[in-house]
Amino acid sequence: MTGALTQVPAGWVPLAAVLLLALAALGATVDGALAARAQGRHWGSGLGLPMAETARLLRQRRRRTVAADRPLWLIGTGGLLVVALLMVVVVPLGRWTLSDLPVGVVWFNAMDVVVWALVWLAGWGPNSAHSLVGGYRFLAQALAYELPLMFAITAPAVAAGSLAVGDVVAAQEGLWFAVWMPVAFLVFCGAVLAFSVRAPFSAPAGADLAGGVLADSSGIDRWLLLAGRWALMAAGSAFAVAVFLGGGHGPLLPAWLWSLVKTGALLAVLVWVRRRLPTVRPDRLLPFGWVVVLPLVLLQLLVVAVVVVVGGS
Amino acid sequence: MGLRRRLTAAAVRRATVLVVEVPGWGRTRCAVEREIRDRGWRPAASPADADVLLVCGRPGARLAAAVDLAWEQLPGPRARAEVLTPSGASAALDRALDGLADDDGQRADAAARPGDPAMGIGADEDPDGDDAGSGHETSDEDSDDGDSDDGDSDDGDSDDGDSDDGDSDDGDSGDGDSGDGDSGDSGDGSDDDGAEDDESGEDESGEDDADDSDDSDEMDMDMPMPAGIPLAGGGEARDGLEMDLLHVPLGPVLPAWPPGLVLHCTVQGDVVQEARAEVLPPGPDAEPDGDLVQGSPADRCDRAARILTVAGWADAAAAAARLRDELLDADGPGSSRPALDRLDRRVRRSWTLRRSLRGVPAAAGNPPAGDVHDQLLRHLDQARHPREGGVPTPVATVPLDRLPDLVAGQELAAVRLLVAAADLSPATLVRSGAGLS
Amino acid sequence: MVDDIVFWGLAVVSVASGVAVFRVDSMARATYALAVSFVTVGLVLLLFGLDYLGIVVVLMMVMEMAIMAIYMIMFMGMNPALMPMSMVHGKRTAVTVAGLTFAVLAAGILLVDWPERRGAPAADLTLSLGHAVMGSKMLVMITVSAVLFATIVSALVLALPRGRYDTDGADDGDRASGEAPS
Repeated sequence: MTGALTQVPAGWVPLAAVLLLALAALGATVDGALAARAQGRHWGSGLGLPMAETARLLRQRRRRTVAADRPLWLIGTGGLLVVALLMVVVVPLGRWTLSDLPVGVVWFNAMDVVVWALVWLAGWGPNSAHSLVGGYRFLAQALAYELPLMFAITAPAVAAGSLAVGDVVAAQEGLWFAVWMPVAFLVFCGAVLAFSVRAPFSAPAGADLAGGVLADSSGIDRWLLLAGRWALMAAGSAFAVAVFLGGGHGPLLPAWLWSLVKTGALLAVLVWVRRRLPTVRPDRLLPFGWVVVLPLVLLQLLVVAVVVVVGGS
Repeated sequence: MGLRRRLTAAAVRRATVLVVEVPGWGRTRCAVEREIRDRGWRPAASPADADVLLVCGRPGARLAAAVDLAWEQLPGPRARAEVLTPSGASAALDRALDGLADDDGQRADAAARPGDPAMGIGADEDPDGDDAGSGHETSDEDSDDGDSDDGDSDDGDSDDGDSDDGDSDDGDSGDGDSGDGDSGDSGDGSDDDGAEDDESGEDESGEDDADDSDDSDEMDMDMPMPAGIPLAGGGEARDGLEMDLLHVPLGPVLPAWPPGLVLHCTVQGDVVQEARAEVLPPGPDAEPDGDLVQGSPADRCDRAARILTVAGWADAAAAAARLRDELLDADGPGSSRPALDRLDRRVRRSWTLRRSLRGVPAAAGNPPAGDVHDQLLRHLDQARHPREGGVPTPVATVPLDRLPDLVAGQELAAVRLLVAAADLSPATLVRSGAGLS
Repeated sequence: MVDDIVFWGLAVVSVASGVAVFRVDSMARATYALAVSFVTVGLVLLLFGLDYLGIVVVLMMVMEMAIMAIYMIMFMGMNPALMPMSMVHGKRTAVTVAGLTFAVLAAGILLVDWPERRGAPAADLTLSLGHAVMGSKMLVMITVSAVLFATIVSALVLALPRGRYDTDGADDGDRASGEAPS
């Protein structure tokens, strides 16, 4: 049933990591260019941003705080990149995938729940009020976005009749799921912004908290957090491409290239969105998530289920 | 060697600057912000995020002590500069850049810093009176300021990152103590009663603080505190659960925050239960360079930029700041009119922004009325339609002592928005800060 | 062979982090040690080929522990990150109960006459798991879960009508809602 994909040996994991980092850098570059333009400089002057920031943070020393919970802080800091990599393990690149897990969709979901723990730990570790509030804000935000996210990725799984990402991609030959389940797609994109802590869901790392979970990190710790957020955004985009935007399906170009191009494009759009929108105040998020988004996405799921049942009989 | 030099060159291309505005140096701060933007640098969100500490103006003793604590929290490589006039901004940033790029100097700086994060200023070290007051205050501040709060008051950085030397001991060292201010999450200090006292005393701050430190000392003796940080006291929260009370001062070293303002907050979780406001004055013999003309279009744009920054909308804030700088150049809204209209439309249309700002009470007008969203729109409106004859529309200000009432019961994000938008009476801001007036 | 190594590795980590729950001195560490223990158990289920169950265990347990950490810390009432505290209470009773439980379970494992495998596992384990668990009761399950969920939410709403932020709950950004309490 999952024969459409070729599973490559584990030796390819480093390549996947490099691709993921490259996509993360792409996201940061687009962000830098947009920021430069907003500040009235030529957009080209923002292109070097990821490199400059990396050099700056590599040279910077790490900050220590009094009575910090060092082990937990390190886990939270370093974990984001790891989780992003674990997410892309089940995302096919064209015909290849690192793991054609029969329940890949659930796997992705489990990994995104791990982000809950990591962001909270990153906020808890430094023993500082601002970052701690940031960590708690993330958990509250997670409660707002997680259920909509779960139902959003259930829709393509229902339509494909399988939890394997490969099958979901195969089921989109001809018609992308994003076309006939737009609400689920949009909700998923919002959730990607939310679990990578980007505006409008950036309150946990908000300017009003002096950087929130980032407030007390510097040097390599800060780099890991920032890179982890970009990598999560890239991984989320890659997954969205696989389950909503037809994966490697497309004319002319080889499938793997289609996967990459679509991922890059979606990532750029998400970056643009995040710059267009202000942060939503954290206490306003939960009512919106549950009263508005959750019913909408459930309706979407109902529509998908009805279509599948009627179409299948 | 070549690699190191190249890394240094790349690393300082996009320095981050923690800008501290001393009350009375608003124009200088605007010039600095503009220079930072034009260079493609970035304002820092917290001391941990900063490479450069830039002080606009000459602070008084207490504000200077707060700035020094923030300076201790810069991880390094770090540089520090002072600007007193708008025209000096560029030179000051150049100086800071030279300092940052000087590898040897930075290494020496790192070696000279204590390896373990010492706590700020020990409560027991400063015996009495005024000094104690200021010392203590600052340690709080530091926390707040940005950053970090406190718990760490200290900065300690260890040096690993790049530099060599060192020892990195971790964390907690606690000997020092103090605790008073800080402790991050959990609160500091004083137990409930202490808290109460502290807060209620509205006398001068010196006394107040002294009390406070006593309390915490006692606590210290009662129990062995890790890193010298005492237990938090509990208190009834609004929803009927008991929650820890924490004393978190906000300001004075905090981006997008009124200059010199310190808001001593007692928070439960992320809700501010009560607060005390004061403004730390500039140095007694310093001559302020001046603020933007209150209510002028440029001033309105500056206020809008501050609100938008705290609202997490960096691009719109940048647009407002650019408009402010153009208006300052041009002396009139003529050429920037289309850009102003564009910004106004964008802000008005933003559903997300409305959702965030609506319902945060505005600290403006007498009595205070409306919410921050109204206030933001009003600023943009006034910037677009200045009065004939160039006489600025006056800003309806509120006195500083109204602030605590307004912030009580608000969530931290709302407090930040409210204060960023607050139109405080200028008289209060420049007057020497003897507590709330 | 590889499976054996992985299994023993996971088993050791699982037990060790389980022990750590009682040895560490902070609520946050204890909670996350427990999370690690559960996650390794979930991964062991993956070794059995029970993909869905294993991953759902990981998902649920991480989520649960992330939330539980909040409660653990909240109910301790003192700054738990800083204050070293014992994670053990009622030591004697706890040790007795734990020992007995362990003995019973271990005896069960050793004494039960485990059946031989008959037939081969289903091609799609997730599907057959769904049928086995839900089967004809699917509709009932779906209805019950929605009702349960609605009950929890409405109980909370009734208990705390104004919410933590003192909004009336019906705020769509209209200005009346978030006004400061006077």
